[in-house]
Amino acid sequence: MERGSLYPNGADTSAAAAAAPEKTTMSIVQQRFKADETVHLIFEAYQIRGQEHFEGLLTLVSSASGGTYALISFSLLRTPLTASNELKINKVFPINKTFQLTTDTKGSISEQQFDLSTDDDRPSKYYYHPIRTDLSAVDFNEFCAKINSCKKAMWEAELPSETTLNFRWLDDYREIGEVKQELKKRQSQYIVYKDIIVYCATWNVNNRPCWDNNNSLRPWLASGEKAPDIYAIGLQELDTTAKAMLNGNQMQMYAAQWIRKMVESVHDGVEYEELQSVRLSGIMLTVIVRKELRQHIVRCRVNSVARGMFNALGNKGGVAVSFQLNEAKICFVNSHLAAHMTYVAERNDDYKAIEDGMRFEENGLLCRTINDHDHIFWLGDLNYRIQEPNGQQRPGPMNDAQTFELLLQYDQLRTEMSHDRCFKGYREGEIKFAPTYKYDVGTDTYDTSEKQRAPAYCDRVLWKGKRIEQLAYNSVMEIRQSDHKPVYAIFRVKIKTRDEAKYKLVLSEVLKAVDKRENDNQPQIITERTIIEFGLVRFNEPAMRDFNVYNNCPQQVDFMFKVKDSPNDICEKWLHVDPQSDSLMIDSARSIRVRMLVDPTSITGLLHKICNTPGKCDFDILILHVRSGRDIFITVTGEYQPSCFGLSMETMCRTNRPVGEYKQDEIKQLMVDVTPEYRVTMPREFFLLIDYLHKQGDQLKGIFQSYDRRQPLSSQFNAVRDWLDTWSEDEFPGTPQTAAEALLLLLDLPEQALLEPFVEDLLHSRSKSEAMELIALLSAPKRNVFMHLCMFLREGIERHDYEANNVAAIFGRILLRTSKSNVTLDYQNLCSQFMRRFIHVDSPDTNAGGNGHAGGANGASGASGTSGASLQA
Amino acid sequence: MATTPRSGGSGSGAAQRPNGTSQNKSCQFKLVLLGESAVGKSSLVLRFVKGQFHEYQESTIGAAFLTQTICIEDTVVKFEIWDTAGQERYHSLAPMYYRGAQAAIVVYDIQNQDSFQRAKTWVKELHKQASPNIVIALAGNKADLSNIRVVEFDEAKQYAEENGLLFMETSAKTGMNVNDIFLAIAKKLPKNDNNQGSVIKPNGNEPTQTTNNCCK
Repeated sequence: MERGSLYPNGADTSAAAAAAPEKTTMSIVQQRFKADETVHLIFEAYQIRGQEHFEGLLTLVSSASGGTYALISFSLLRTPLTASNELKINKVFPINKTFQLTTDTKGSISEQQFDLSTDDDRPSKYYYHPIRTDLSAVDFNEFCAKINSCKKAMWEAELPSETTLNFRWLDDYREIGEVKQELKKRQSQYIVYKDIIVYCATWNVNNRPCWDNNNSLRPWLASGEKAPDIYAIGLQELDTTAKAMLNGNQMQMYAAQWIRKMVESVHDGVEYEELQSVRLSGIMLTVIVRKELRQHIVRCRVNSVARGMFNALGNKGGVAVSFQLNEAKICFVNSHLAAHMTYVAERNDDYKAIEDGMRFEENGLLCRTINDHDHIFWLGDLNYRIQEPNGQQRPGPMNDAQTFELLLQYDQLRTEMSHDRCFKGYREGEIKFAPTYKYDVGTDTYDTSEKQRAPAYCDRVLWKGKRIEQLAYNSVMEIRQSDHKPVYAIFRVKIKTRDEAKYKLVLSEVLKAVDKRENDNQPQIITERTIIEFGLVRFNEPAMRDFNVYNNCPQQVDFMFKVKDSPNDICEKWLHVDPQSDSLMIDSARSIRVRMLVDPTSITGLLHKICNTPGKCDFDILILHVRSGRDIFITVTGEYQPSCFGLSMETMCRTNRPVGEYKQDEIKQLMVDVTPEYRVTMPREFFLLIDYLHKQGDQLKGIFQSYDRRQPLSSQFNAVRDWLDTWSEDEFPGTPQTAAEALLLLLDLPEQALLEPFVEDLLHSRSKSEAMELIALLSAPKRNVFMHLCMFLREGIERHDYEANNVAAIFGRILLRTSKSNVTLDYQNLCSQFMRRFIHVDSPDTNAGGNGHAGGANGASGASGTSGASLQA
Repeated sequence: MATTPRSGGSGSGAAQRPNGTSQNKSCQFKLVLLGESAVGKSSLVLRFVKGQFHEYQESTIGAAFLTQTICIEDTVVKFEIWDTAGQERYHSLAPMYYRGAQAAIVVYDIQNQDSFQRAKTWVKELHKQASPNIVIALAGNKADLSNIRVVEFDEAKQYAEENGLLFMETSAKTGMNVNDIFLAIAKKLPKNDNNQGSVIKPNGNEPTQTTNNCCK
């Protein structure tokens, strides 16, 4: 205790705390890491989500085994921090080559903000307070300087390879999100690159049908030595005549002929099939693939963007095919852009419209765009012309490289691309062929018509993406039936492919990690006990027990008691649990109170459960459910002290000693076993109550006015209970009202109504004598109780102690009660009517028995059958 | 506007063939462990999920929930495992756990004849009250102690065959057949595409349609 005063904040006054080393935030954070990992600094930063701000810590940590630094972002589950399990990792930033700390105060909420990012993650925004609150934390400038120096030390001194320096240690701290994301992050571990040959071809066919062409298309489509894996063939001006555009079917057939012709004209020796074609008016793109490749292609989609007249006619525009081959997303676009020398801006606009407008449906609302692909090939009649140099007409000879070079200096496409006005990010191979437009059909001669259109490189193939190498780029002079020459380009593309063996390994690692995270991070609570022992529980005596649940896991935990099948509630009727659900913050506890009360509404159920449970019967088992975690069974148990209330007349007649001397399992035996002889004609408890009431004479005025078993019992009730359960010879400890209350309960609480199993028949009996025949068939205890009761009631009515209609209604409802839930007024009337027959003073056949009370009393207490027999007469 | 040259647009449909190598299916199944107290249900789960074994495994008072994912062929199978308390006093709560389960492992201890009899009553109860397509495996645990066995392998095997159960003798202690029995169950479970059954999530009683996109 004395040492406590050594601690500056004075909080550590307990002996335990005094013995522990000083707990700075820094030391608590360090506890969160492994032995070879060192926390270098902590920086207080907060994040804003929605309206709220969340306090957190950024910690710079290094690993000796990995040789690397990382920034780990924690959120604080409690401030100030007292233990390392109050730190929740929300992000891990490896300080790799792509790690960035950027300060950007544009449009900010606060000037104290910065972004952290790596290639794998989008920037995360952090804010900091101008003043530190924790002494072991650094300020912003120190923070930045330290991080930059760490990054420099790792990556700029020499060029270490990722193998000597690694971030594998971070896997233990990373929040592994969805399996899919994690697999993507680990791509480098299972992705290999596979070469494929892509053959792109484009031709403006100038409305010439394919059968016009006696020559084959092979010089255009089967160039190159190696058989391509994928063909993307774009045609323009398939048939732009008005007639064709109006007749869809004809156009369809026409296109099909072209496709057939093209499929026939591709490389020999390999089997190909058409993957997909897409056409917008006269602009068509056909993708043909090696047959064996087909099964590796998924998510194939097509779309088109119409341009041209009104930007909608489709005489200009673009079509595209998108698909995934192995792990590579590939897109081919064929476009026909605006024509004419001066329409450069329109061509740029067309390009932009196609790039922006082309969408491939992914699933539901998600769409992929052209730029979402790994490899993009854009071909077509792009229509860019040679900007004629001033004062210089069409150049001379057209077949030498120098001329092409000269012309290309004035190529509009190159000019526009160099100014980033179109095809940003696209590349084109060196052009070593003559302008492909505009020829006199059937010749290799440029336009000799009146218009004398200047030659141009209208027909082009561009590409965008990684790992694409162009192998050939050429035009085909000998195909002459159009005013354009066809163009083709061949590429070698290294496409991402999964190494299946490596992939399986990574996948199983990822799955394991995700399972581990799910299992380890499962919310948990500890319960103080799983058995709630109530000890001896008596009828109509409330009892309660409390127990604690603790949250000792590093996250908030929600718990609730689960609704069970039977009863369809969280607990039995004789129990009450509070609270039924709650949330527990870290390191907090909650006391749960279980109350038990066996009262008139629940005793029948409890006795039923006791009888029907093999072995020892627990009062209940509660299911304490932890959200997203396990269930804990809480057994509520104890010993029920039997009482006459709820027992059947038969059971009471079989007792050989007061009920109060029975144990729970003894009374169970007695309830379940129907063989023992009856020891008395009617239950002593019933007889004693009637006897007491009978002797009260005119004090009975006003009893039996109403009855509801849900009403609280009178204050003397428990004394009456004990009086009955002990066969006491003392004076009755209550009032006539208490006795009446007890009498009604004694008749009402047994599982079976007194007149079962004949309730239905009795209700429909037409006369008293008819009913008597059935009553004679009741078990002796029930029959005797009924007859004795009727005599007693009749006498009271006779003496005008109480009113016949009231008595008939109350007792009819109890003795003839039905298990049916919806009791109609009609049913109640039938009950009253039945009872009236038996208690009606003027009833012609009620004189049997007369003043038989004393005789009955003697008979019952004498445990002989004679009085019962006389009652049957 | 954009039409494929072929009539009817055989287009995108054909492109979604599921047999590409990059198409992995994933399924999620609820599996429940049943059996007499102390036969090793929790130990089997612990061995399967974490590869651990504790000589002293505390008695399960409640129902523990763990997940484990395995790959078989092209399918990722995620098990949601409910390890239930074996004590007889909790018997009446068992239906809450096996209801909606697609698989069950009924465990007995090969040194304990009573536990084998109890396993048989569990199987009966499952056949009567669990979902009709439930895949049931019978596990004769503690097979490392086979020199003091009382339940003969052949007897149990015959019983399993007669009742259409998968059967293995397992040892949570040595790991023998532990993965195998889960794997055998996974193989036997129907793995229709997108038909992952309704899985009872641990955080409620309501069956939820799982949308697990483990793999693309």
